[in-house]
Amino acid sequence: MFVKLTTGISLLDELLRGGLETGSTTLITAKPFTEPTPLAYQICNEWLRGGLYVIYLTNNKRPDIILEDIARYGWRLSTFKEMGRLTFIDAYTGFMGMLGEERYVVKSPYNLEEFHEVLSKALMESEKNSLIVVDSLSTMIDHFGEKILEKFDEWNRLAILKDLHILYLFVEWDFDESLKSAIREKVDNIISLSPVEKGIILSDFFTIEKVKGEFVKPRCIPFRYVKPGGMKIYIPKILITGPYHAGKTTVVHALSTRAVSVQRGDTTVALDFGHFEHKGFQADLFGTIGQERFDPILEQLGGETLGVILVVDSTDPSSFPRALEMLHKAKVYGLPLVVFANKQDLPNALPPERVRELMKLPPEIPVIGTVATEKINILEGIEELLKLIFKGVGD
Amino acid sequence: MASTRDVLKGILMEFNKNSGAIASALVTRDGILISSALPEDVDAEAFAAMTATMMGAAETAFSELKAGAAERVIVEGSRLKIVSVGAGENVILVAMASREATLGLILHQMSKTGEKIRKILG
Repeated sequence: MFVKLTTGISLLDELLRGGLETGSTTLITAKPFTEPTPLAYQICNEWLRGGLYVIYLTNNKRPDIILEDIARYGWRLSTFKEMGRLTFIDAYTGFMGMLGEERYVVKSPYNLEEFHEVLSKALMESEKNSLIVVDSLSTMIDHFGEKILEKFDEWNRLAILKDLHILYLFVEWDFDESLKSAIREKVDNIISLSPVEKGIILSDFFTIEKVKGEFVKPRCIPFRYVKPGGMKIYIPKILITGPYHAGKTTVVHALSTRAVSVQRGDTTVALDFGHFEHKGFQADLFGTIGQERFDPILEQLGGETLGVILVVDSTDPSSFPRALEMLHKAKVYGLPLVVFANKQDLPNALPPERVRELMKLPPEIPVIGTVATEKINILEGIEELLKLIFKGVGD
Repeated sequence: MASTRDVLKGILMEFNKNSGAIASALVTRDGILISSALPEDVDAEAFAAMTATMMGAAETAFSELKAGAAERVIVEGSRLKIVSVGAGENVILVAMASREATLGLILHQMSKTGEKIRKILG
């Protein structure tokens, strides 16, 4: 019976068709300057908290340093180590001519046979449904080169035999291409991490390249690591726009964990800005000014937007043409868009479908009835937008 | 070998050292943070968005007056001052310094740093 466990990142689980299965293997491969380890830590944390066992092989850091590193992301795993649910294979201390104190120790890490023996023993003795982290495969290849491939097959077979999941961490330094592709062939899932410099925005992306043994059409998802918190899908800009007094500022504040606004009286005069965080997603929200005299700034703020929430006052159909004009002025027409038909609590509010008709919005644009002051349907609305932004991802 | 991100961060840190600024950041004109050397308690993304808005508003005000291009925005506060200048077509360099810091030195270092950034972000 296969056990499927989540990674703790909902979109990643969706892309992996439900999460990581036992009896299989995953390669987390990272381009230089991105790190595979925080994602591995996050998955360890998820498995341990799910009541399962983790074995962590390290050949590039001391186990206590790894635990400290993990704690920086907000996960205290030392208690699991004391309980015997987290075990280390120390293949690092030996490099310094010392003897490690962990349950499993590779005394001479330059010796592939000993390495293989210790790892295989740990795999054989492991509890059912354990997660095995190999940190890192790239350091192993540095030491053993191609010879590692035969052993690799044996470890993967043990994963099937003992119902384990092996997570290999790999940093793509200058390795032989044929070796790299041989490894890619031999694992079930591939998650690759890379820094992408799109224009001048510097961001990290993850891509799922292989799921359950099949290579899939790669899709890029922007993320960042936060301390504490780990991997978050990150959208640098969601624009929240709409006519004067539609409730944009209230929407930004209702969605934000932290927000700042530049206001005079009850009108925004420069920008509402907020941080949004929900179900493993993070986004920065930019709320614009409604009045026409500020339109030049609107145009400037529209740049680099990935999705738009258009807020309209459902009691004021005369403002609808202005709402559409603002999308054009911000040059965001055609981007993922959700319309908030706001102020649904007022007696003369038009229902969302009527708002859609009057604005002549095509059916693929969601129009959601909201009451921003009461936070009604606000989260549901941004979830719709996130779905549109990552549309096609996971299918 | 170093990533663009590391290089930019290095340039900002060097700028802080040479100019006497407390903090600095690189921001796109549309308000997204590129890189920063800011104190930890500053919300870097919010700071970036507001700085870009400030610069945008100043430029708009200037062009409405038909007064040519706005070259820099200087805000002097009771404890600090903030200086923003363009550093390439779509990039703003922002420095934060104590009220007493020498403005001339900061501006001079900003223009030197701006040149480097232009080259890197080309």
